[in-house]
Amino acid sequence: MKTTWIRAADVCKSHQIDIQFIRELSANGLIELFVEEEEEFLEEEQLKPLEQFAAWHYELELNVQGIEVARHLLTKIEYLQTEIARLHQRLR
Amino acid sequence: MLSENNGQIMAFVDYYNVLGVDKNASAEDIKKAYRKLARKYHPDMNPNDDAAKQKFQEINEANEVLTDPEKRQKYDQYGEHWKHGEAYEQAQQQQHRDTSSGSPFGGFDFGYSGNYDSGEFSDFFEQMFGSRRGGGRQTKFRGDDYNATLRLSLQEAYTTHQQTFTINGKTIRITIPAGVEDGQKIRLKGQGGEGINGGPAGDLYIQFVIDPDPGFQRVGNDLYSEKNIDLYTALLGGDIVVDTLDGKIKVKVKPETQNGTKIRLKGKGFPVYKKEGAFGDLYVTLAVSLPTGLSEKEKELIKQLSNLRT
Repeated sequence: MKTTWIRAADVCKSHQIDIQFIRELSANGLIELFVEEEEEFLEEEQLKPLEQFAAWHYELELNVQGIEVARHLLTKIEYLQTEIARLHQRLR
Repeated sequence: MLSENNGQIMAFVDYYNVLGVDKNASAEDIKKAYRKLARKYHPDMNPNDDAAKQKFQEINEANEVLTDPEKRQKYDQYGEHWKHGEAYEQAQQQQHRDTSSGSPFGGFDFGYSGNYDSGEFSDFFEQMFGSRRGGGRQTKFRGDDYNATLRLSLQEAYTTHQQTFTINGKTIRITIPAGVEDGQKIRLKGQGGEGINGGPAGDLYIQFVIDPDPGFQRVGNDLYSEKNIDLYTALLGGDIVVDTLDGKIKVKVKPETQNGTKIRLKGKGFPVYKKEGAFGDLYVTLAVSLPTGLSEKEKELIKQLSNLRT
């Protein structure tokens, strides 16, 4: 499948995000940031989680560690909700 | 507390109580309380929780009023006495007069909103502050993402086709390109839950589940199948007819073909996703069926054959 790369600087400009924030997310393994010829890029599919993390950071004042914890717990919630739905289905 | 206004019963909303702050709370206290509650009830943090979503809207409404000095002043002045409809009506009329003559309420923005669905704030807010038009400081939040699973047969996944289905009361028609894989997810932008405060709608993620097929096994873009051939065709060679997902084809079998021989039919496998005209291969394993219920004559001839080989 074709992968679209987006310059991190462009994302920062359009979304009013500090590049340092993206680098921190990347350093904590929350999104993937690639460097090519000294320029930082994001895969298009990373945009959605980035927008979500940015909203949590700028609107809810979560720091990167908080974002990591929240994401981890949300993944668990999602798994448990799916599991509950599956079990409900089986009980019918 | 309920009040009647123009025949409508409306509940007074205690915004201080919603944010859990004192009436004398400073702007900083209100901001802190809002942030704390927003973190707790934010829809992102409470997936598929309508109660949290509702609570979050209440918090936003309270924040909208209490962080705006003019709105807060007005709320403090009349909000509590909402039940005294007449007094409020006078105040409203006074305000209209004041608006045109540069009163303290003159700068109050009765017109917020554009893309905001005013139905999301309480009737109390609407009556007291009007519907929101124009700008507004309110934070917009993206709607929930929805996830759905779509089951396909291998044959369905083989061809590009359209499917219509209903999710949360919304009918959606999508084109499924040939070659989708089991477990593959596609995103339909903006087809998820409605945004909050005029925020964008969430996305709909559809995961394809491809049911196993009794005739073919799929590995990537290649297909695998099995074909029984009789002993004589295996020994002497001949033509056999093989099933593909695209119909039947005739295949030559070489003489002295061994049991378990795999033949590769180039380009007869699965279509490559979003690569028109590109297909994987079909591998057919030949299984030689030995004859049963031999007659005496057949047994005699096979013995003769056997003797020739020893």
